[in-house]
Amino acid sequence: MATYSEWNKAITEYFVSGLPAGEIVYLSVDEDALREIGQRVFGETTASGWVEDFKAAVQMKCVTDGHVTLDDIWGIGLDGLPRGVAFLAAMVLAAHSMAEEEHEEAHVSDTNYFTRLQEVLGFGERGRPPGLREAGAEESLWETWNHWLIKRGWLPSAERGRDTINRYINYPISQSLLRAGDKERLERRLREAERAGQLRRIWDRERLGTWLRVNASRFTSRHLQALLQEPDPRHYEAVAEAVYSVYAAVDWEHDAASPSHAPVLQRRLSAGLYRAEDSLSGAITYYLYPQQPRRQQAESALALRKGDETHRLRKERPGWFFPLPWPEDLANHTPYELTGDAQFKQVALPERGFWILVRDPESEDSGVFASWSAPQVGQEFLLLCQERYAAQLQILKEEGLLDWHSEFPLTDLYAGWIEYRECLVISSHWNGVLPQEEDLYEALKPQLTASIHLTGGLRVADQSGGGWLEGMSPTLTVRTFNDWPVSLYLQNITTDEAGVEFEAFPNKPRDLPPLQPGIYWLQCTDESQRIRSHRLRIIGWEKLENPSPKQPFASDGGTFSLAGAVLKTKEAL
Amino acid sequence: MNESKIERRYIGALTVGKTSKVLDRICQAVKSCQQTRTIPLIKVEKKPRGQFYVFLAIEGIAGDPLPEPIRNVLRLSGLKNYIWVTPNDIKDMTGSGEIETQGFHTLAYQPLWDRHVGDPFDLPEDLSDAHHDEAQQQSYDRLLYWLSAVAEGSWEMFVGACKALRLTEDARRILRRLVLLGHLECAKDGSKWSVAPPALALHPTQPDVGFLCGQRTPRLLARLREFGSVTETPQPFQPGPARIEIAGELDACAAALNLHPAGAVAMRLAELLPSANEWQETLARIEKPNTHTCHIERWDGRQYADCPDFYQRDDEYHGASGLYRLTREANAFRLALYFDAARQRWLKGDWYGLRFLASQSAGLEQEPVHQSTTNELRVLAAERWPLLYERALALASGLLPQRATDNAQAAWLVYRDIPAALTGTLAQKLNLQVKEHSRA
Repeated sequence: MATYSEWNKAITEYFVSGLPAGEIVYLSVDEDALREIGQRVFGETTASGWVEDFKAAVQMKCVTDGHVTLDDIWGIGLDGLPRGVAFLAAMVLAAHSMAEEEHEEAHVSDTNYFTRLQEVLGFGERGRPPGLREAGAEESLWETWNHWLIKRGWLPSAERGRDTINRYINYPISQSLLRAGDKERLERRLREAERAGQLRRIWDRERLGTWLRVNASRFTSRHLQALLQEPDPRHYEAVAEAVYSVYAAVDWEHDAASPSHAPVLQRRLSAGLYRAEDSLSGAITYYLYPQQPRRQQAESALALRKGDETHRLRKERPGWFFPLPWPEDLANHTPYELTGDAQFKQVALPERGFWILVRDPESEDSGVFASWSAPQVGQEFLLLCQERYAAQLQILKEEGLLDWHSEFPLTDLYAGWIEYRECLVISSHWNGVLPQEEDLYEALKPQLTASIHLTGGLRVADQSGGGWLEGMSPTLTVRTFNDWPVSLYLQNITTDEAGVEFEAFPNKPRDLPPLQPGIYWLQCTDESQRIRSHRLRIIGWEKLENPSPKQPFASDGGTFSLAGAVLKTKEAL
Repeated sequence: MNESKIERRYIGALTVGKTSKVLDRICQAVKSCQQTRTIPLIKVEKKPRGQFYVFLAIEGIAGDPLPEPIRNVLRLSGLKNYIWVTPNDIKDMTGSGEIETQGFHTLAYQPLWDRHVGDPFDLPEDLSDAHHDEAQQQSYDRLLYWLSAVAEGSWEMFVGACKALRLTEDARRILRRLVLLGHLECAKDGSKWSVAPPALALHPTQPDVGFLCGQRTPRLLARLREFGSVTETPQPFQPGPARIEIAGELDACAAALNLHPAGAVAMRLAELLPSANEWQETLARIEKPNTHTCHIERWDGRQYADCPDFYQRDDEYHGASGLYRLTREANAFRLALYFDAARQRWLKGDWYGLRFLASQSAGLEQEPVHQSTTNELRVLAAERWPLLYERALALASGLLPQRATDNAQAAWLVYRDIPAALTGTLAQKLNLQVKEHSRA
């Protein structure tokens, strides 16, 4: 049976492997996740199954003489991972099972929560388990986990509750996105919607996310409704991701008469769209852009079959494979068969009437657009949509909500589609304009009032999410619909020094104060602004490494190739 | 559809005067009455004549009459009577149908669609290199550190890094110099680059001294100093990363620091290089460019000039072989290409290389000068060699060429540490006659 340390490592890697820097991490451990981790990492289980094995490992490590003892799991271990992750996972598992109770009140009862935690830890009483009687005794484990995530380039999501009653239990509760029973409820609702023609089988996460937002009121569970009305788009993305994994696991051909107890595994790989334009001829090409599976622990062996040919999927950047090398017909949603992975069986161009594409964040002037992220406030984007959306877009323009540079109807393979170039959402006053095309309206409507843009400077990428070089910090611009200055607080979280507070005028670039190497957390202190916090890392020049390029070029001399000063004859190659 | 929302409604009021002044007056009134949330938008006809309507969007207010704060706005704006209108009415009530909008809490929209930074091989017309600026030396070294850490990227990233480091030279020249010195490699179309592997190359004239090519970081340089005497030499005349030489236990150094032992790479490269004709075959081809959408110029030996004799009919191009510059009319994107008239093909590559081809196809003869006493090779700047061949010269010393002017005011490029054998091999490949000078 796997030990606590083995579970600790496996769970940590499960939640962060393959995750691009800047993503929010949820430690959303439930029984499905434990079964999946167990099968992937350990292979063999005992007769009682993965969930019981996990509980036993946690109990063995953290329960001594009928008391919870956390002495051995504080801080960071020799493997560089927080020691307390498996214990935190047990706390989230308790939060997850707590929600099986149908009555969901505005404030979750801490008694209910601790009763579930007692069960997970092998006690049978009520209230805080023995050893954890002091409120917040485990908070330091959450802080270690959050700091560890920030240092590696991800954003934490576990946070204290605002009320006394849920101050500490909010940490695990905030992590349990879909709770026990939610997946079955969701699957039933998705099947009903599909049968009623309201939902298509081949949608991507963004399209499904928009549909869920529009239809949030149709879900009977209060917990699901609350999740689907989450105002922060980055948190909402995590919710949509969790629901999407249920959606992409649905076997539409077979009715699920009764909920299965096998882990819910996503079968279809997500994919976006990648647009390239030839600068000289102006020819535009769209390619299918497969996304790397989240939580992929090893180098992918995924390959795609097209006719008789097999095409290996190679990693392009964190979170994405290279785009497929052939132009994609935007009307063809026939799935491509995948090989090389036990879980993922197909990838397809999602059925969408429109695509919102942003410029390459790593190379803004390259003319390349793709589905990397939803545009932030003040970020221009390219809207590729079917002609039927033109009337809705015109209304949005006339109402001063959206503007664009030009419209470009496409031809040939892309006939019937229009590019709206350099779109920008210019106002936050969307509520008064009723939508004609709800899916497009919801996708474009801004959820935040401002966003922080860090541009310029010299940036490098590395295993820890990258950062800017010392003395080469980016310029900061707060893009906002409001016209008053924004107060910001910048703190070096690698030291205990007090942070600096400063103001940024709206939509005006400004330099950051001189920054020593370290990891900084940039927050808005103005409560009237809905704005995301940012992580900013400054790297000393002496810390630079020299990784090998993934796609190295060489000069072609006919019979030899030359890479810098390294000469190889083609015979030798 | 959410039924609980109150739809945005409009009121229209007649007014007269200059549109900008009317809009200013209403905006002031809306702000002073703190009604920017209730009245998020004002619409007015563009360039109206005489009396015209102004329309105010009203949100969050159901029914009639208007509440007092809104009536205050109308009073302060000098708008006496109003009527409720629909968005369709607005179009009908404006003479031209062209409407200007003024919103509150909005972002200024300044679109910039065509953001291309140009073709990496399209060198600017002013072919004189910038003078060496010592203050910028550190920035060039830092550029190479950054390239080493990033390892690969797009041409646009490279331009952005040069800008961030405030390098005053054109990024295309900097890119070419880094390739020349063995630090960087490019895709054939120039759209992407990757840093070259770290290597220790040897001088053909001093085999016990090595110099670094490819990736380098401050950490690597610190470790290098543990293995022998390290000398840093700024690039002569033209700016670029300093040459880092090391004398000592070169094999042990290369093994310990994972440096590729490149040996006397200049000599080996010269021997392996193809003839100029064979080299042409390795260049990237642009398939059937549509020249109808481009402005076309041809290099006349000194500058680009319009070429009215060139035309395209279907897929056939009519005009002399030579170096052409195609400028796409839609976005001003420029591309320098060599047109091979006999074979009806367009070749892309290093600008000097294409000029060299044009010069050879025009039958112009070149005569570089080798000075055996100093191991220097002089090439006329106007006859600069293709990048791959010039690289064999730069990799002999790890230095960029110096500039010199002769009595006839002709500009020469002077390459150091070039033994006669290296000169001879390269000249033969490029079909050139070398003039030998043996006096100092």
